[in-house]
Amino acid sequence: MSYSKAFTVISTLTASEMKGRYRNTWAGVLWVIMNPILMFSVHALVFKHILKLDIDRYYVFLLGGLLPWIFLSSTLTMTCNAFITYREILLSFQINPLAILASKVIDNFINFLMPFLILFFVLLFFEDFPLVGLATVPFSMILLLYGGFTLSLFFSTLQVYFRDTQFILSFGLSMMFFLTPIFYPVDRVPLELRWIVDINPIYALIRPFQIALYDFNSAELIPSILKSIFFNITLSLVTVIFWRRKRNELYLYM
Amino acid sequence: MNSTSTCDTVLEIKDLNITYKTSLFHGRGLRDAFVEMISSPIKFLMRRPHTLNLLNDVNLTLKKGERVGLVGVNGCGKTSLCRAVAGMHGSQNAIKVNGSIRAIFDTTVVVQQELSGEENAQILVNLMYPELSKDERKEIVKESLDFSELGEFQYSAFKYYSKGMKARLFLSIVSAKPCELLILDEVFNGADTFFNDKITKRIKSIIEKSHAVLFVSHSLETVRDICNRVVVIQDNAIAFDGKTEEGLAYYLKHNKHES
Repeated sequence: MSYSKAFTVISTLTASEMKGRYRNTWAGVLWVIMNPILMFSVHALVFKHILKLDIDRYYVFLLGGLLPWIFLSSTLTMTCNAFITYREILLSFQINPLAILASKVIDNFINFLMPFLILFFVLLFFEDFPLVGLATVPFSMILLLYGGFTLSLFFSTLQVYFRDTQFILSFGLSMMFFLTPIFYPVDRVPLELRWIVDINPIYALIRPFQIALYDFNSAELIPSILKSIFFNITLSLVTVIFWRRKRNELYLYM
Repeated sequence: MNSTSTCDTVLEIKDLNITYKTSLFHGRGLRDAFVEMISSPIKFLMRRPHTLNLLNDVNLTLKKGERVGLVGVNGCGKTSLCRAVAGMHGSQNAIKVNGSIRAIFDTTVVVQQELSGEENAQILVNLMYPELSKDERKEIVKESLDFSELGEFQYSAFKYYSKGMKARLFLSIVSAKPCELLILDEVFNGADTFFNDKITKRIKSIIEKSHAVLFVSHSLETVRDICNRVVVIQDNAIAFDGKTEEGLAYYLKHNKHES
């Protein structure tokens, strides 16, 4: 499929997904925006004001870690069943399953951008953001988006063959939430347990974003971007091999 | 899928095998697989998937002007063959197509239940004809909506449509433009008798304008009416390939319990 055809198909699916969801329901739009903002507020309240975690500029820290986490976890949860939900369309005429998945990931990315920008502009009044760091945010977002798509492809394909994948994924994400330094800084993790963070692919995708917004310094940012690229390439290779091996049976098992 | 070089040849299939690995996943979840892996790791690692050979050594060539009816009993592999030709089974080096393909397997598809028929028509046209310009796609939407005779219903949410109404809209869109290779799998179902006559005429006209057609149907009358060649699939292979009447006679003779 040429790029222009792929663009038409993906943009049509993304727009239809958003239109369909928000038709006749402004509450739906409000919910998508408010959900991450409420999560952000509750985390700030609990860790900053109740548990009194002593972290400088905690709101900015949360913005750089929690928001991308919400994007990744909600993308994986939403897309896990995508091939089965869209079974009827996939079986009816020629449409690339990857286009359906891409549209769902992009739709969720737009849902992430709206609350992110609202929180960012609110915090801009109270906090300083490093300008060089902000310039690297779009690149970190691309890595995040790409990683989100790759992981979605892996789990949504697995879900077609193993129908309990979504439950295990949901459980895994709940555990990963506590094991990923998004509401506590990575330097609080004891050195002997730091390997848990080092092998965490979700943290590798989030970390450049966190550094760019919160504790920017180029000596840390460049290795974190390289690590994110490394994890993206590794995840892509695994996913592409898995996808190619399983694609033929996809229509049989959907 | 590759493109063919011979101008008259629209589709060329050489030694195509369609195989599914099945028992590896059948009826099991990740948790079951995990328990099995822990309880007997050697057995788990040594396990070989069951292979389902749906079609073996299929050779088929379609030239311009050929309208081929694919007939065979349920589960013989007609739809799988059509999906493979349409590129829905990953890359198949055994299949070469000269030009664009349009393949339809169901006529009651819904993209977004909450959106109106008109909006669903726009979406379907964008998905089916992404190669056309915006204006051309708009024209198809307008023409298809007029042809479908849905009237004011086109502005109602798709979730309120009956199966027949969905079929009217979908068939109107599908039959809006001819293409090099048209694949129609059981498409004459769903719409009411009166609309069926109208859509049948239109689909026949698209079939006439398309370079070649692969037509799947259990209605032998429709196959006789539309096709000028019949391929019978039986025992995982092409059992007959030739003239329509002879092909239908072969199919009836060898599958009497189906007729």
